[in-house]
Amino acid sequence: MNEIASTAPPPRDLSAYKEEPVPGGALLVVAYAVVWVLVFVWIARLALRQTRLEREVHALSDRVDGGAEP
Amino acid sequence: MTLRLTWLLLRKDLVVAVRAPEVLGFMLLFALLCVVLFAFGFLRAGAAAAAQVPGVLWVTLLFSGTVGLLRLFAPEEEGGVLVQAQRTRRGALPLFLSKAALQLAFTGVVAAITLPAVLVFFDAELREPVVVLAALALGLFGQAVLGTLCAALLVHVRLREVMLPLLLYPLLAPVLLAGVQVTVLAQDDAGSDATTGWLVLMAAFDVAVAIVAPWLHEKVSRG
Amino acid sequence: MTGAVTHSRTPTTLLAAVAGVTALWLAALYAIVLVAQPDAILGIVQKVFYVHVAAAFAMLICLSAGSVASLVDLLQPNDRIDAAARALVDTGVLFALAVLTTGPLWARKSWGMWWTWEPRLTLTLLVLLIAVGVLAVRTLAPPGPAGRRVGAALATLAAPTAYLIHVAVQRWGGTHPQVIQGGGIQSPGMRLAFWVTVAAMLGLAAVVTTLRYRVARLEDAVVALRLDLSARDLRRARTAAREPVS
Repeated sequence: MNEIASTAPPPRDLSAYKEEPVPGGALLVVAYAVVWVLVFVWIARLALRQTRLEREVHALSDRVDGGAEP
Repeated sequence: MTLRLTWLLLRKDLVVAVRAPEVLGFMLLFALLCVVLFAFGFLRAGAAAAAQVPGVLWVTLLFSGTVGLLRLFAPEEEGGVLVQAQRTRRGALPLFLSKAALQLAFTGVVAAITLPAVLVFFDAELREPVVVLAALALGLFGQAVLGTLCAALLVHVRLREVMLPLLLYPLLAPVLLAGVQVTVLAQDDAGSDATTGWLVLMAAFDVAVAIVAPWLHEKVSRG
Repeated sequence: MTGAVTHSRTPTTLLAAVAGVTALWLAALYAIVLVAQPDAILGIVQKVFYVHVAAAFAMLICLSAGSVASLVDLLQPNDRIDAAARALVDTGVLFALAVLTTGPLWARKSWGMWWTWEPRLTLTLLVLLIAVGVLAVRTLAPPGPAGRRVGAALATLAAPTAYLIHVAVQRWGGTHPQVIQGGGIQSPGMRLAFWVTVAAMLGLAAVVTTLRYRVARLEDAVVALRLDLSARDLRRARTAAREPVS
């Protein structure tokens, strides 16, 4: 039983959450908001990279085509 | 053939290590420094110092091991023969095995000095030396093999001094958890079942990396 | 090959997939808000569970698939599989972040603290660190087949190690109180909401992975074009050096 006594946090009082006035609804809204913000930031990041890379591929292939071998 | 080549390479590295013992010296100094810093960080007046021993011991060994890993392939690299040695048909495996053995030898020496140092500095005694030594042997073996693989893979990667610990420490989490728990249990004279479980886990880790690491090294260096 | 070929085309199948995933998400949100009953003990915060566990599923699937794809690429190099492996690991990081942000918000109410070293949460944290490390190495490795093999080897190594980490943290956290073992599905409404959310989350993962895969292919195209150009410049320099000075 005392296997993790010195490294893990002490066992907590499991009834604590009932007495503590934590707004469950607010946490819920924050949780969903965070996930959606995360996903949209991620997709926006990908879109930016896609545009930048497309421009780069464009420029590079123009250079490859433009300076054909003599 | 492989074993003979491994021994020749290892002997070369050992001769260098005896003649120019900088790397081992740095590892020892760094381990000592870690122990001192942990003492400053974790010791409190009135609290038992001995309770910190398992954590301090294992984290110190993990940290100082990285110092050796970062210089493990340096002689071959500086001599410009690393890539050739890795690419030859018979060279990759002996090179890997000899480097892992060298790292194990270095960390073994560091552990042999760090363990008594931690016990003295933290005013503790070793209750079940055999169990703790077995855990150290298993843990250092896993660290040496996996660490050698990571060091070899990162040789040509930018910022590898930063990347090596960043990759290696999370991968070594099972070794650290198991090693600390075995040492805690040994100190408390508690449950032999739990100890056996942790030792089996470490052994399983060792077997897994001993199979996978040389194969990946060969695969990556020879294409 | 002239310019316009590579310009932004969004395939109809991708647009259809985005529409499908959006519909699934609307259904999932409807089920979560209106169909699933609030938990008897935890109250409304239990509804974090749906998105939290679904994100964990998506993370596990992305990262395992990424590891398997890396192994396949290591055994039989294939540009598409390599790009897919990178895309999967990258998307896995997104869902790991989602798990690790929703986890504490849920734990705050149900365990009374922001973080507990609960085995699955600990595993997620370590797996996130490993995945970020693998992606970083892939960025920092030299471009070309050697660097690619290094990234693939590390991603391959990550899967068995993650399994051992799983075993270790299970043992480590074995004595830890687990208040909500299995997440507490008690009613058919909850079950429905849960599985619809899982489907929506996996669909989202597929769409994000596809977007990232397109970026990965473009990255490869840029590297290939750069190599072409420098090879040509080298040839020209050699020819110029051979020609007599007039």
